[in-house]
Amino acid sequence: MPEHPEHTCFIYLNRMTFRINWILILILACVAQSSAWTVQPSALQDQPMLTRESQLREFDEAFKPAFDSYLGFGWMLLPKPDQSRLQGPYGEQNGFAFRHRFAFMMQRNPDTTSPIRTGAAWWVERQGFETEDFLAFPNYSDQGLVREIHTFALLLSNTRYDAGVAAGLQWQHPEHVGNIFAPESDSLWWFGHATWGKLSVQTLFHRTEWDHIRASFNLGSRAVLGSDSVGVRTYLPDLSLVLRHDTSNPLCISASQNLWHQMLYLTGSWYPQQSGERFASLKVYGDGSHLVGAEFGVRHFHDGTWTYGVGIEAPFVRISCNLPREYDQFFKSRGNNVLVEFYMSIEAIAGKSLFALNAPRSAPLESTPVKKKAGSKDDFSSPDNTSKTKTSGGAQ
Amino acid sequence: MIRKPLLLLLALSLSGCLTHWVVDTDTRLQIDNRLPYSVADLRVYAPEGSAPDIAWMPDTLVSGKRSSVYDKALVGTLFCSISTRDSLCGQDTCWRRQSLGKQDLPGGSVIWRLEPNGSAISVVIP
Repeated sequence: MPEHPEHTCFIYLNRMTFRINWILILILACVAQSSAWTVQPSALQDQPMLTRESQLREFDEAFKPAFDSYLGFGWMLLPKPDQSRLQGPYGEQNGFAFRHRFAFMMQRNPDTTSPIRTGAAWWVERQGFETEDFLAFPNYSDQGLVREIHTFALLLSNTRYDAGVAAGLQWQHPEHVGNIFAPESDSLWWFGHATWGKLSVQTLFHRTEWDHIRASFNLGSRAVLGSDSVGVRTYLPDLSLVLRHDTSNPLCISASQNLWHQMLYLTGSWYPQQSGERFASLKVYGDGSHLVGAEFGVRHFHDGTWTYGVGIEAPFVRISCNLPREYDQFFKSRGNNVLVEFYMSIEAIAGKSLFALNAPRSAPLESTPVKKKAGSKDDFSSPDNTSKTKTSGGAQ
Repeated sequence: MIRKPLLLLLALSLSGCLTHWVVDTDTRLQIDNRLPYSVADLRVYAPEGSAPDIAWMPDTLVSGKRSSVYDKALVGTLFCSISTRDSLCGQDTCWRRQSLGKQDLPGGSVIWRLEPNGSAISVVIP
């Protein structure tokens, strides 16, 4: 199996647009049969903790000394207003649970002769529930909740030792809290992050109170970081361990295992202290850049129930139907509901490679001419064609 | 090319506020009082008392009258209540709060016909 298939970038893009048509048909089919899911106010109130943790997890995956920049955004809106009803004090109210996010990271060498790099990162998410849907300006209704969660970080890294440190702030800001929700106030957290080779550690504090610590061991080799693109070392697992101050859910163990050519993965998360709550996903990607992929997931809840879900993602659009990770990311959504997200997540090493978050290989960036096979119909230099020309010439 | 309109359709499906072209996030409500007594002051209320009432319709309707149309940015299945004038009470100020139960407010123009149902009020959507 070659690292980059022989097809051109043009064919790659053409396939993607073909896929988008199918995505559209899937949206319409899914929306037509999607059922209601009721947002609990408690799910809206518990969400920031999980969002702050997921922003830090994404930052952990995006910040490596060798990477130049990361750009991610997601604009999730539910196509039908009765798809996310709020279980409010007045009954069930139609509205739109929303999640708009943006992430940006950049690193540069201030002195091109030195391996020292500096950079900055900003993750922001606007989330909540609103009675009318919007792109930028919410309605701020009495039954609405609009909240912003920011993660800012300053980065310092050294490419010679493949090591980096980062420090930053997390800011949670309630933009609007309707009168049916418990009041919220602004909060600040601060965190430190260190990465060295395949290991990275980060920890988050609220004032002097420790919140959580994450340790990641990215053992699987990545070609974008200069390691092997094929071979035994690509089959090593990526492990991560989260220890939280929150005593109700103090430990989470996650693993990701390459099953075939870094295009088929099995990932899983396990909360051992929470009555064995766990979820697993089987992910299939179009190539090693992980920009286009499909996912099948299953989750076992601590109350003993199971859910199954499917999802597809491509640059600019992501659709998921009951995926287990959306339960953590989108207000405990479960049941037969379809989420559509205008979406992008691209990491880059300037002029060299382009890939999704935590992906092992780059997308094919240059178009390479397709070599004509000897003996094909278009090949006029083949002996078969030459003989045909000769015979036709003879007939004239 | 068929691909362009398809991509445009996709963009439209994603840009949420454009759903206002086809989706009503308001309910325009009118009440037709077919009860043998007067009603007034329609409200949306929280049965557990955890939130303040939302006043919807201040009109007082004598028996057989229709209200004006009142618009509210509420869609869903909500608890509603109305004040009724007790005919046995004999005084103008003798109003009693009565629940209409959980009512479906689907958005758009809605008319409710209030009809007697024993001691309760039934809401009929004609």
